[in-house]
Amino acid sequence: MPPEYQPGKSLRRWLIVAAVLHITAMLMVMLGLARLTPLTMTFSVGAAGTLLAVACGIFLVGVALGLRRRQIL
Amino acid sequence: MHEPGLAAIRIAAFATCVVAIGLVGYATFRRRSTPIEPSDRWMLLVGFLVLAPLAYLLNAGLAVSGAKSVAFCDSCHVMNGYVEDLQNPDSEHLASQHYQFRWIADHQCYTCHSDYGLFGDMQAKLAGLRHVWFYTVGGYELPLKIRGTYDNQRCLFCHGPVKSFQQVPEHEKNAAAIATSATSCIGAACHVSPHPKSAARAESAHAS
Repeated sequence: MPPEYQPGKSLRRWLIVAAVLHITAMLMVMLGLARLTPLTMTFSVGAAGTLLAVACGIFLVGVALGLRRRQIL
Repeated sequence: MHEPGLAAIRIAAFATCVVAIGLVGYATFRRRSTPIEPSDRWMLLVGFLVLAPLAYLLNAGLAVSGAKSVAFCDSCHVMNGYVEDLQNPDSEHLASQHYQFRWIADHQCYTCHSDYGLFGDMQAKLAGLRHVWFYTVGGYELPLKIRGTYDNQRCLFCHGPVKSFQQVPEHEKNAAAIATSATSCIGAACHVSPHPKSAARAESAHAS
C-alpha cells in the first residue's frame, strides 16, 4: 500500500467519528432513562436520534465502501 | 411512571445501551484492528444497527408515555404551584377536584391540556417542545397564560354525553357557544377556576 493512499486509515478515522457520535447518543438515551424531565427527554429523544442517525449513516457508508473495495458491491 | 412492565422495559433499554456502547467502544478503541477483523465487524454491526436503534426506540416509547404523567409536568418549577394545588385535599379548584376524586384516573395535566385523537397527541408534543424551549432558553413572562383559547371540547369529551350535563338548562341554551368555545366553561357564573391565580405567578400554593 503506497503511503500517500491508505483507505483503511481514512475509514478508521470515520469509524472513530461514528463511534463517538454513537456513544454520545447512547449516553443521552441513558440519561433520559435514568431521569425523565422535559430537558432530558429533549436530549434523549431529539438530539440522540439525530446523532444516532448520523452515526449509523457514516457506518453504513463505511460498510458500503468496504464492500465496494473488495468488489462485493 | 408506575405502570406495570415499564420498569422492566427501562432496565432492558438501559442494558441495551450499555452493551451497544461496550461493543462499539471495544471494537473501535480497544482492538483497533486494521483492516477491521470479521469479529469486530459483527460487533460494530450489532452495536450500530441493532442495539442502538432498539435502545433508542424503547427509550422514545418510555419517554412519550412518561411525559404524560403529573410528575413530569411538576419537574419544571413553574408548574410546582399548579401541582401543589392539584394534590391539596382542601383545594376547591376545578383541576384539583378532578385529581382528588379521580374523575380523571391518570395523567390529569395531559388529559385536560391536550386534544383528543392522534393529532391532539402530536400537537401536545409540539407544544411541549415549545415549553421546553421557553423554559430553558427563550424565557417566559409571569403570570403564565394559556396559549389561545381553551378548547371546550376537552371538557365535552367526557361531560358532553352525560345526562346530568345535558339536563342543565344553561348547557342546553348555550350548546352552540359551548361547543365552539365561544363561551368558556370557566367563568363567573359557570364553573370555578381550574387553578389558583398564585400558581400562574409561579408562587407556591401555600403562599396564597
